[in-house]
Amino acid sequence: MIAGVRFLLAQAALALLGGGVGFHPSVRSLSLASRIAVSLCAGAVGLTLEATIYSLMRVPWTIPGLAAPLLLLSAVCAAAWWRKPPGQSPGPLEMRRSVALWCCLVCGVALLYLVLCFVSSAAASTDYLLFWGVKAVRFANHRGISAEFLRYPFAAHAVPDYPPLLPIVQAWGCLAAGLMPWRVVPALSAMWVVAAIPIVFERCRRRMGDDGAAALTAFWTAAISISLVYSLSAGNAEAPLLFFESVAVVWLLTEEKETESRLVPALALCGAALTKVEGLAAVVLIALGSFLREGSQSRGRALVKSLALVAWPVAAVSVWFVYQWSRSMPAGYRPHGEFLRLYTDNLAVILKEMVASLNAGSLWLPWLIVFFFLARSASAWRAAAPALTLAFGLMLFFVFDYLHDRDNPTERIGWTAPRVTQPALSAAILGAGVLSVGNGWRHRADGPPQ
Amino acid sequence: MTSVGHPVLFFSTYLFAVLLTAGVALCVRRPLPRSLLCVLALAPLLFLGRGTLSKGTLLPVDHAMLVPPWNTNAQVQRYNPYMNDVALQFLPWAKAVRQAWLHGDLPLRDRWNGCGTPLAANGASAAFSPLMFLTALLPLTAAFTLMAAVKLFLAMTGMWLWLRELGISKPTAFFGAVVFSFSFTFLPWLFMSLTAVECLWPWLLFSLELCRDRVGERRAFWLLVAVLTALPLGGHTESAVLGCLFAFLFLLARRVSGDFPEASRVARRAALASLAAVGLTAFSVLPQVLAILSSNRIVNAQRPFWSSYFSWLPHGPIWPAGAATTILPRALGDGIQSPIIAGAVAAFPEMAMGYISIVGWSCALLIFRRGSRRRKTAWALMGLAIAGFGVATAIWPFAEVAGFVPMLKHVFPIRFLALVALAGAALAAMELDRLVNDLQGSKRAALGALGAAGALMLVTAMIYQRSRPLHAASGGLPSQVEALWLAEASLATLIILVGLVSWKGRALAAFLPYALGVVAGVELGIQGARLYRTGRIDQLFPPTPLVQFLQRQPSPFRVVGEADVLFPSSNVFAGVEDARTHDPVERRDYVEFLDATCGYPPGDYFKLLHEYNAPALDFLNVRYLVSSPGRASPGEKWRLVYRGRDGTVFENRDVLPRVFAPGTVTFIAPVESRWGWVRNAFDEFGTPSSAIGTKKDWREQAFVLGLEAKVVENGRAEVTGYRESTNGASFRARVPAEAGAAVLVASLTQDGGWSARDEAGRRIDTTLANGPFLALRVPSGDHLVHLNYSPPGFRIGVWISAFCLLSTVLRSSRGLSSRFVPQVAPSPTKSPKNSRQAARMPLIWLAGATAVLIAGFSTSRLPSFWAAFRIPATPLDLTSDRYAHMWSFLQQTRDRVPEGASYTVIASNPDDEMYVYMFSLGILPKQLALPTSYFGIPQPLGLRARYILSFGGRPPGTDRARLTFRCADGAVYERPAGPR
Repeated sequence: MIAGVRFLLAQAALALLGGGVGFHPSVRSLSLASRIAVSLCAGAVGLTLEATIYSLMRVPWTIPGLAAPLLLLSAVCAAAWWRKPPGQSPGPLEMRRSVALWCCLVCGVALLYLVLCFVSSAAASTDYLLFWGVKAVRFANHRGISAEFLRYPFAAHAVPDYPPLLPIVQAWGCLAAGLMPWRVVPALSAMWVVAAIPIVFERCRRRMGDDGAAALTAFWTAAISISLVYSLSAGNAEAPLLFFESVAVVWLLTEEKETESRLVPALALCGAALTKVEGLAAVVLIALGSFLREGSQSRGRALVKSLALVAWPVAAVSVWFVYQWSRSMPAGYRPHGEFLRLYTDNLAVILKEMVASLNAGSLWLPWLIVFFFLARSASAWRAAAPALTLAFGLMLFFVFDYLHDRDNPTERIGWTAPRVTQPALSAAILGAGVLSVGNGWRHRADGPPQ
Repeated sequence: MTSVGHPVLFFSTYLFAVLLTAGVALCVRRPLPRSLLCVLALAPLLFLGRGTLSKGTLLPVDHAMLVPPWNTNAQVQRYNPYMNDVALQFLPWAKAVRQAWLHGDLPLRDRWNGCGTPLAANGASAAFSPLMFLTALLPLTAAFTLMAAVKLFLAMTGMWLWLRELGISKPTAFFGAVVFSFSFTFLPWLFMSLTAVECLWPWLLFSLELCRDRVGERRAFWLLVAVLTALPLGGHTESAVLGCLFAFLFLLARRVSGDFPEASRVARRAALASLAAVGLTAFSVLPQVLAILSSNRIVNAQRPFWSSYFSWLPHGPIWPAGAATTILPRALGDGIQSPIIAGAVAAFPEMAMGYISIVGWSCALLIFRRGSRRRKTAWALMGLAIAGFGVATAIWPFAEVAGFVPMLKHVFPIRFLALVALAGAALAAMELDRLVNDLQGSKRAALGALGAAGALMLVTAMIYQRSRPLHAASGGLPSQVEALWLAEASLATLIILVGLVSWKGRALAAFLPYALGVVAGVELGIQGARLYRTGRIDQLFPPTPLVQFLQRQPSPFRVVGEADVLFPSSNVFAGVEDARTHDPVERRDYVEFLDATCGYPPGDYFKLLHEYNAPALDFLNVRYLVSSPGRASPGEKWRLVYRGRDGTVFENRDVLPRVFAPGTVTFIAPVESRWGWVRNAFDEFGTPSSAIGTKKDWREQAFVLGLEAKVVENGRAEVTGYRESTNGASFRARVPAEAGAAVLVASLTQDGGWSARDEAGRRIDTTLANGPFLALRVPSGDHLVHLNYSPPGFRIGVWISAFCLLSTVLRSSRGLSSRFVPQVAPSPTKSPKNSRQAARMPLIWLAGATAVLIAGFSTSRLPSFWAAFRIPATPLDLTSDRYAHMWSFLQQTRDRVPEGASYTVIASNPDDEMYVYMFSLGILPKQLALPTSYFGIPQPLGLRARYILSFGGRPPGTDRARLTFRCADGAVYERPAGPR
């Protein structure tokens, strides 16, 4: 019990480690909850990079050793950004009471269900128990990324090439707790969903009005909570990946000014790239979406900005690849079969199974509703391009991945697709929301929204 | 927790309760003065001081120490005989409730007695009581003491607020609060759930009174809802009904007298609040109602207590001595130092319930004093006091009316004296207030008070004189003399105080109520304190060698005790299940079954088993008979297995497992069906319980309720791995394919609450067997059967409560201040689309969100709503039973492999082997894992491992491996040291 509490506090402390970002002008205009959530994002990314660099330099992990530099960096950032004027605030809440109550009720029930299912072990991920958690325990015991374990031939099932964010974040908790509280860790996956909610809501307010933002946030919370439970995602990397990708997408979707800083989406994309292999694909897709949205106005500038979005995550992942290379492990990600050897005979099965897997625990309703709204606003797709490219690009990416299976991929799709398509669902919801309720994307040099 | 931790937690929890109460009062804009709050908060602690500040407890440890086998620990004399229910019912139930919560289960079933009896549906267990939750972190004894303190505090504050609301001055309201909360409606009952409800009576009346005020009407309404909700959860339905009855009659009387012009408006709000409260508590009330209707006690209480005296013709009190005990509570003896004498009709705490101190009654009598105009409310209160007294003592027509009113007729009439105490205390305060006002105008006003006190002095002396010979004969005279002097001294003090105020210090008249409150409080405190004796906490059901012997035996099994050995419910503290019961909602059909087969008179309050050699005990899974020291075996089937100075234990040679397949099944067509609820199983079988009385072939044959009457050979079935928890059980049943299906009979009482499913979640048919027991029809094959219990009415009650909660929340939110939910029209600059569509779109998204939620719940992976609140033993409990077993196995074995040592994993199939190996990498991170196979491919590396973790019983494959540990899911072997 005590270990669980200490683990929980250590996870909460991630927000402190990344607290400096909470003072960035683009973040300061947000509510305290959103600023904490952004700090959590920065803390997780910062910790992962720092811990990987420590391991690269063979510096053993300790709590003060890991915390002190990040806290110092946070303090420096806070001091540097403190005096800069904050970004434009969306102003006080103006909501219909009935909408506010209904949204609170939906979010409350959905989160309660999510937390209860995670706490009661009804949605525990076996991946968490088979390798995510195992890596965390091993890393914490080793006080560094354990190359010995990752190279062990009888730990191949632990997919040693997977990026290290989740094991490092969990190992950080283990260092604080002294052991791995196996039953508590899955419950903490809910933290990522809870952290995403204020950011989604507050950023959507800029485009969709308060009622629309609240309604969309409630829908997002309900759909994602149900889906996470249904796809048995407690304890694995799905929840943090969803958080990072959703934050990045919603931030980009609701940009008001051309000059608005992209620090937060860049950090979130770093987090996504460091969480799962497909996170890097998401980075590329989101950047592509950003380019498609802005490219119609100023192609060269849009390209630079999109490439800048990709550069940060690529740099972050490179640290991991350098570590792999330095420890005589195959650097990079292991391909799933030969890259261009596709078994197209399986295409029909793959499509059928993929559609079946989009159930998301709620009888395809979220996807149907999203498609309904997208169909209504198809002509304005460019406004939601960063979300739509992610949603549909990810689907294509997974189809492409499954096409590498020589045997019937039904079982693998059934096992993985409900989980891995969740970021696509999240992006599709956010995109459809902006298209249906929002006032469209306008590219302005400055000035308040009209 | 440390010895310092408990007192700190105790006092901080109490402080929290005090502040919460003050906060509630503040919320309804009736703040409690700080000085008064301090006094009212300290008073309960002063009374309970011995139990709060020392390591002792006021709980009846003596009763616990007199129950065999605990009676051999130390010699003890029973002190207060009326505390047995605390030791043998309330404490064990509280323990059972706490154990259930601790195991992550809802306290729905009392698995410890009667082959499973209702626990939450036994209202007195207070399973969902707010006080239970408040004190949950404290040890059991401290929790009971804290509950007592909080009850007294709530009663005092509630009474003070109510009296203030009736327009009584602060000092007199203090007096009224003291005389009610320290009255004998409370003091002898402090550790029973009755007072948890009674302490809310004044709050009920206060909130009704508040509803008159239009200014704070809304808050008053919610307070009323909260109080009405807390009443049935408190743990004593009977008192909740009495409280509501009092409130209803009080308002009615005032309405009739023209003192309550807002009656119809308040009545409407009260009706709405009652509806909300009934709905909110439906999850608790519905099962309680059904359990009461099926209980043995309701059959015994069918005839109202005074029914033999009911008459159409007017008559005086059938129990005139009730007047004496209301003025002098010990007038008929107290069973402690003064034996009960002729004339007593009930236990001392019941007969004395109307006592509110002699000073209190003296003040109440002031209603007959001349002087300023009396309030109409005073007459209403006097009327209620008379009515309550009339029902208790059977005065025409009160007893007759109460005896014919549904529900009320089942209430023991003497308990109506509690209403006398409530009305009397309020009346006393009201009249004292009038006296104080009159004293400020005229000295002569004191004459009435002096006269009333003098009259009472005379009456008490007369009562004493009348019963003196009987008390002298019983040896209780010294106690009676003490009681008389205490009463006379109190009255004398009253006379002196009133005389002083009228003679010299009319300006001091305002302080008279405080002084009289202290006098009454001291007198009641002295009278109440002698009901309790401090006992040692460590002597409350400590483990004895016999108990430890029973705890070591492999479960499941049940015991029965001979005579009062391990008296039913005390067995909760021994941690063993008993087939006997001592419970207000013990099922009638079960008691009838026991009576017919083993001799267990249903009419007795303390029931004892008569026939220990009855074959029915085999069927009931009674493996052990616990008896007194030195007892010889009562029959052939009982084999001596334990003998000690604390008792003897015999083992039943013929005991049957808890679930088994009888050889032959006699199906009987049901006579009636009540939507799954079984009121009396024998009614459904259409046969009296005596029909089963001579049955001996329990193993060979069973009577089972079926669709049509027939006799069939039952399919053979092998039942293994039986496990039972609070609300469930599971076992593996192997039914051969040629059998088709088999009927399994379980010695679990089926009240309609048991349901069964197989490993795939498919429902398995359940019915009744051998009367009130569970039967299952299991299809052929190897099945993991899960039994799940929720008392009849609970599920529908939960839905009703959830619906009401939702409605209540929505309704209450209408009044939320704009601080929380701003109410501003959408600004044109922020409106995304200045059209109706912009307003509609969010609603469509919200409707979609609701639909997604509903659809999501329909595919929920949670087996039940309550499963979500259970603390899992492994991270995989509800995800995969198979993986959970693997995890559990590794958790148990990880300490068997030293750090740095190598180990391998073997299992009965490669899949399991791989999974256990993969899990082990996380659970045994400091050991060296050498797989025997990896993804099904054998690995020679495993042969080099020092330790072998064998999951599922696969042998280690070498003779030289030494078994070091075994558990249900596997074993650990150690290979001999040497080069590998």
